[in-house]
Amino acid sequence: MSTDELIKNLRGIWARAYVRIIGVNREPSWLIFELFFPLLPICAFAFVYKSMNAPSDYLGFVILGGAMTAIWMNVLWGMAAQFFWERESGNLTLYMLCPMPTMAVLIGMAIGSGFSTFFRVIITFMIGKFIFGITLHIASYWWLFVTFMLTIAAVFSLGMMMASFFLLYGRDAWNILTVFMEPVFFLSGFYFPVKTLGYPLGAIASLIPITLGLDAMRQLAFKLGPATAFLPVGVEITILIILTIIYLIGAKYLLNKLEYLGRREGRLTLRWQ
Amino acid sequence: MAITATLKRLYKIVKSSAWLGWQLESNWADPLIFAIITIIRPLAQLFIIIFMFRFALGPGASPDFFNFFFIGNVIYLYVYNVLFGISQVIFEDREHYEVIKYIYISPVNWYLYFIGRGFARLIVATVSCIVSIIAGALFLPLKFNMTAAAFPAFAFSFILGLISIFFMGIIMCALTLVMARHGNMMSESISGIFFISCGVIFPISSLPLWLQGVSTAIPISGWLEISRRLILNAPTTIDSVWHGVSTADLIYRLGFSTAVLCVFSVIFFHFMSMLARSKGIIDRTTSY
Amino acid sequence: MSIAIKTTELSRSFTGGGEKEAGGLFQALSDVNIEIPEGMIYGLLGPNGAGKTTLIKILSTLLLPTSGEAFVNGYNVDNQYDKIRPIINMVSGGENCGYGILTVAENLWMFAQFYGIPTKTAMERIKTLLEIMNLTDKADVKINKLSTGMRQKMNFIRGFVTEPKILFLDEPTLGLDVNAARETRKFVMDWVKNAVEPKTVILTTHYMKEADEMCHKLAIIDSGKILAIDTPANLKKQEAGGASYNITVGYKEFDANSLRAIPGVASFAHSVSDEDAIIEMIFNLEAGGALAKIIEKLSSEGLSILNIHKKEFSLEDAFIKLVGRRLNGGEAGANEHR
Repeated sequence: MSTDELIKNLRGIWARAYVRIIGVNREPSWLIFELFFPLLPICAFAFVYKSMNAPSDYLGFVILGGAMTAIWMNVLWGMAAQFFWERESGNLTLYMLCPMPTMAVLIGMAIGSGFSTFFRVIITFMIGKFIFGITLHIASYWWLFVTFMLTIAAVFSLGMMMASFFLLYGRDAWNILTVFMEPVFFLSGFYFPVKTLGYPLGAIASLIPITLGLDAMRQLAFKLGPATAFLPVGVEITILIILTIIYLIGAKYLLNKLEYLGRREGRLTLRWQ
Repeated sequence: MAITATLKRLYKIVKSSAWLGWQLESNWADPLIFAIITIIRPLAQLFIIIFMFRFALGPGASPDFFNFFFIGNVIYLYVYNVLFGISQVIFEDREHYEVIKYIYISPVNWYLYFIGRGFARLIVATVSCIVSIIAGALFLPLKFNMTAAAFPAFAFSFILGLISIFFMGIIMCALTLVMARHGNMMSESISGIFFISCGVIFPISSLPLWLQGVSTAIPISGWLEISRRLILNAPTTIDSVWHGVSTADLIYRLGFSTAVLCVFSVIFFHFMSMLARSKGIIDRTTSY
Repeated sequence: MSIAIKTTELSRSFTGGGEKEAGGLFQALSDVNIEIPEGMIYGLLGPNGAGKTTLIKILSTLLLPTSGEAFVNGYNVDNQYDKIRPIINMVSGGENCGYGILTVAENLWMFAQFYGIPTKTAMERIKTLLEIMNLTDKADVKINKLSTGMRQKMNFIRGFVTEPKILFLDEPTLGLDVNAARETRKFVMDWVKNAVEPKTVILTTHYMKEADEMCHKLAIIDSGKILAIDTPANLKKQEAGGASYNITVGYKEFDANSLRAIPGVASFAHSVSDEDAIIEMIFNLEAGGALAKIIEKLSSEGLSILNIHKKEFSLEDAFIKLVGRRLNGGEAGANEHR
């Protein structure tokens, strides 16, 4: 990619992100739905452990899982499924028509939502700290940061792959995407260490990058983390790098392929599917 | 004759809106895929909690915990599905299908239309409930002892519970009329409010004291406790917040709170509807 | 002169939906061959469902052809779409675009960014275009508060902000009032005429007058087939073999085919006005065709003649002859008076 193209793409990314950022400002009710309400189920799961008098680190596991829920929800509904709405409003046609790569549009959406997602993560941790009295034992800030960023990269790449299906499908893809809610919360161990699932199921769940990301971050951030580890942090980071590369290539391929199929079958501009 | 004609007309509204709701809910996939998608989410939700218990308590956990959360979780399927189904009506008709203005100006009775649209979700909830019970029977040490004598009270409280969530759905619809699009965040939000406040998966007594007062005032909390007591054939459950309140008292409370909710939701919907009209936002779309 | 657009035996079929032909396929376009030199407004005139939008979608890289080829600025729409997209834009009449939460100016800026246009340049263009389209006072209004017509105008401006080399206008005046439609037509004509670099507009319309007024060249399309291509003047001239008459008669059931079969009648079309209980008939005659035979036939059918008017040849006459019916399904089009 030339510098000129890069600048053009960055302009597009910023423009799409701008819509989201401005949207939050102009519709304050969005803040309540984005920030406040999603925190409640996380608290509910923390209360489950509390009602069992579990160690406070277990509550910490839930809080960390809850923070990652914000990112996962952003990827699912703020990015992957957003093409569903763009199609319905007629904007998808215009995105396809413009010279900017589809990936740039998706990155723009994700960054735009990143603003509120970031606050959601922060508030989740504050709740953990001040309501549930969670104490972090950070083994390495550097590796925690690296793991977090790698998890984000891999999850966003996976989200882009999912988004590609909305170039061809509508309500069917939307409904199928709902399967990536509770079943992923379960398989990826959002509220309990994935080791509890056993190794065969855990290995399958590892295809969802958040599984290994969460496990590694729990090991790096909590005292009881290493005792509940699924794999060593180093191995998990290596797998996350591999997953990021595979999903990024997959996203590029699928976005091109499904756009082509959408053009061939005349479904790119089909509304109310 | 006039009464029969009116009833026929009302029946037609419910029937056609139920048909519409079912089409919107299910006609995107073949029945097998639809069935899988329908059951996989509640099952996953169930397994999350099973594994949380397994992780925290190990294999020797008391069955009281399982009984408590399992019944809460199953009844909650109705709360989530019906409430979500109804609360999505305004959102879908306005932002997605853009037909709200045509429905709004039609002489259709809104409440019957909502009942009809919520019906599809009631079916989904029932299917999910049956699947969850089968899964629970297979994987959990459940001990249900409901007597035949308790069944009428259970059925009565169940109907009252459904009516109360229907009117809560109306309140959500009224709010949606004056708010921006929040898509699936709405479902997450509803889920969050009741998950934490109604003792669905943990006893209300675990909540801070000030929140316990709020929780016990919500009809769903009482409904869950009634269902647990009647299903388990026990005078109380592990939730100490209800100790000292008889099951009959809980049913009276549920009836009263449902009546209050009914009156409030009708007034609130009317008010919000007028507000939306005065602001000119009945048919606005807010995608971003 | 360079060629902006060229299609060769271009066809497109769809499975399912609407009327089905043999094999369960609906043929939306059949063997379309057109060549559009750059720097002109090229019209595609045809009734609803004629295939105009399908052709536009293929040329604007949104849809692939089933067979045949299409080139835009020399690039194949099939596999060189990445080279085509930076130089084209499209406006579909009656459709919305953008985000309700953003203002008119913000939406236009956003779309300009997707084409990599620097903010300063984009804002200058937006300001100018808003002035031309009388929308300056709405620049800072959120688009979910705009009327349908204003949103349509904004969508129209969006197509021009990127200064495309080739612009597809799909029924651009649909939903606009008479004045706004006039402004829009004038703007497009001036835009092409005054361009420093040659600009090409492909315009689909079912408004006869719009096509006649704006287009340098016209393709008449029906049922996916191109029936004629020429300048509006030449298309009208081709029909000038004989006279054309508008005859108004009192309402009564009649057999249209028997009127079509009158010797010397090249084509016939009619529309019924229920309000006035009259039928308006248009007879295009072949050279030497006689009016007397028509009057005789109408009398024998028991139709009372209220008015006879010899008319100038119009694009509509050409259309009737080629397609075999009036553009709006036999009814007098309100659009003709726009």
